Amino acid sequence: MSTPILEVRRLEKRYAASGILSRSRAGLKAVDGVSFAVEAGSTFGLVGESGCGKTTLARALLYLDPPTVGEVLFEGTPLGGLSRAGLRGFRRHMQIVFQDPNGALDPKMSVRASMGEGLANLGVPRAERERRTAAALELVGIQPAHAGRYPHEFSGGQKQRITIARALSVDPRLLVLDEPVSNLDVSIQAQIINLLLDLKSRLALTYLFISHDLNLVAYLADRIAVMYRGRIVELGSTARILDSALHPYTRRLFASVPRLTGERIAPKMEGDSEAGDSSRKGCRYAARCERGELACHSNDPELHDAGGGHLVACLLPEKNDQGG
Amino acid sequence: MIRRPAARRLYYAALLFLAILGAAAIAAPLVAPYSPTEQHLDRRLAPPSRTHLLGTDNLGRDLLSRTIYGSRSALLVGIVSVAISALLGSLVGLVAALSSPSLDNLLMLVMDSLLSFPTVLLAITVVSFLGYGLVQVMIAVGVIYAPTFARLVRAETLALKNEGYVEASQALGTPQVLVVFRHILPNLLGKVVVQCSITFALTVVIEASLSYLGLGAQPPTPSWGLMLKDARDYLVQAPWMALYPGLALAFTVLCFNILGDSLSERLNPKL
Repeated sequence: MSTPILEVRRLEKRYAASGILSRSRAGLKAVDGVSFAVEAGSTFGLVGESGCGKTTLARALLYLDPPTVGEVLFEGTPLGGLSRAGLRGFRRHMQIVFQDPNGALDPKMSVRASMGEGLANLGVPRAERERRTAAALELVGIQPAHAGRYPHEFSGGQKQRITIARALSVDPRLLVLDEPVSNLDVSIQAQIINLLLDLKSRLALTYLFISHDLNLVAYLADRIAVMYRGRIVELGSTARILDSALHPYTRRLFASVPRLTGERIAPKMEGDSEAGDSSRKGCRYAARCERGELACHSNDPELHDAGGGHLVACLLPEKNDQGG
Repeated sequence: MIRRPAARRLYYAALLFLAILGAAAIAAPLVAPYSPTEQHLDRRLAPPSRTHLLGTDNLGRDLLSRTIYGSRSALLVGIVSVAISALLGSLVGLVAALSSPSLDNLLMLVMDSLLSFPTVLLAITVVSFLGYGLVQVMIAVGVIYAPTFARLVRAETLALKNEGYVEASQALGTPQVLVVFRHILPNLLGKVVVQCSITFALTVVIEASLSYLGLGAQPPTPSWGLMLKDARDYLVQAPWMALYPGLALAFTVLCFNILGDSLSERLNPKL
């Protein structure tokens, strides 16, 4: 197989509880040893509940907030080994779209100015910049004639289109989409998703799609990684995850999706979900897990191959207790 | 935009008053009927009349002229010390927010210890070190109000740093210094302008207090604080001596506060 466009190796992001008076020396591990690879041209889905470290992971792998430990390789080049200027030059290849379109555009800047920033950094002359900005806006369905307007003159959906256009303005190869539709109305969500699908095929992009919505990720992604408390607990092709999820947490996520068939919604999960301090032993899902056995509270399961590239981090990945 | 019409009228009234005050301060020699230091010893403690619209003081100086000239000291001290504190404080706040946690802690510790002193006491201390006079007052007041700006700018910068557009700019490969100038500073400006207006009111009071105590403007320089000090001994005989500089002071402070409130409402898109 060719070199994956993005490879993340044992990435950790720790936040030290700083200050002279703080007791905790271990700090908080928001992302704890995450590894995965994204093939060029694919869509990689990352799912998990809020607070599990998805966004921290996204920011760390883009070096917006560099990882504490671990490596990020973009087309085989380790980003950690680059100089500041080198990293800046590299950034054009991987862009990010944020969850909140309202905060993603500078309120004091016209759309044209916001859009031209990346190209200006690359030394593209003004006329060329304006031409490419207009083209990018057209691509996402915003009238280029409106480029002189300010962010508050646009709706949330339009703003998200503009941030997508801004990300695309520097011709990236990888687009990290961090919950790009969660803050939008359902009708707008569908439009943006269709736009993303359309752009991907037209521009041969690779997506890293982050969401809490398993159904949405399953619809878009070729491969899915499920994150829980800073770790990937299950990783596999979308078909495998959909048909034969092995980790109890993944199953629970599917079961929690409301359906119209009249079945009861799965019972609420007990226990808290915050990324705990790193000192605790055992499987981090043990407290909530219905399979939980004694061993789960003392042994921390590693991610291992359950066959056919389907990875799971569970001591008891039984296959026969599939319920509804 | 301010929605309540009453508040808007108040805002325009404050702007008008401050504009008149500013114009009077600049054009003082043209507007004032007499020289502020000229003594008419035959007309001492004269009540307001046609020749002296606001009356005269214990040395027979025209109070209207002195009040007009006194606005010069007040506004000059205000402008210079607000400029000093805004620049100094913003710089410290920016550096603190964007540098390492240890430098941040150190800078904010210095700022907080400055804040922990009572303002007038600190001003007296600084002026005693630097000597008496308006220039010294400007420096002292400028330094004293810098921590308020430092705290404000630091907090705002820390919040702005995590805004999507700042991260997006970084992701687009903009160098850090440019990110600060292009995205952080312009979005800070509104809050700083509001703080300037409120601080201006405070500096006018401090200038008057220090002059009243004899540490600021030195006689015969006209200053509202100094005029109030002179008036103290004649409160019963010539209450107008205290009334007019007092009113000028009170209205100036009030108007700057109204201006600050209105500006914060105008510049805050969420209200």
